[in-house]
Amino acid sequence: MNEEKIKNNIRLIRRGKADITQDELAHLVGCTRQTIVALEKERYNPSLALALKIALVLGVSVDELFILEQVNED
Amino acid sequence: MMQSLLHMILWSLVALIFTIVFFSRGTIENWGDNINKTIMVAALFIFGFGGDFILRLIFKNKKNKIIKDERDDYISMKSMAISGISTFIYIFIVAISLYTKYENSGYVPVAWVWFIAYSLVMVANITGSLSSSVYYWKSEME
Repeated sequence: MNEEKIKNNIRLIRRGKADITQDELAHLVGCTRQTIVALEKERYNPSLALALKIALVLGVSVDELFILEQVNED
Repeated sequence: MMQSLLHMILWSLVALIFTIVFFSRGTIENWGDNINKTIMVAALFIFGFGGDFILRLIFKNKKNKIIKDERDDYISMKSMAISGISTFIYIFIVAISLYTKYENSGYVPVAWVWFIAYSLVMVANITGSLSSSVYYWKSEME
């Protein structure tokens, strides 16, 4: 059976291209640092609004930030 | 997470005191005659909901500090669903147990109806805050 999983490059882009801390990112997009932690660990999928805000702050497109993966469970 | 934990502790305390009061000697048989215990249970509810209100005030988003966001709303929704299901199961188990216990006598003391009404609120609050605490714990542990 195939299942879809949303992966993301938030940590990679935040530490690299954007070079900001989790706290700063949280402040800029208007969420808690815990939410950024959960996002980077892929324990939470953000709303479209939050995804767009993160992409805007990090200076990348949503496509670059999030990847839809097919997970084969067989 | 802290709010959920405090909420759980608060309602567990209410449930504990309620259980002690309800199962103390003669309460079930003389429920209607004992106004003090009815007032005591009502006071417990004021304590529970009052504490709840104070917690909401403490954990409210401040002007420049975000304490709650969309993830908290998501966890809250999930835990409400779990709380609803748990409450249904709880009611089913209590109703069946009471039926089994009083099947032969043909009537159920009215105190048990009060017990179901009060304990229902407590179970809903405890399971809700317990499940959200578990969600927070799981997302922050890994």
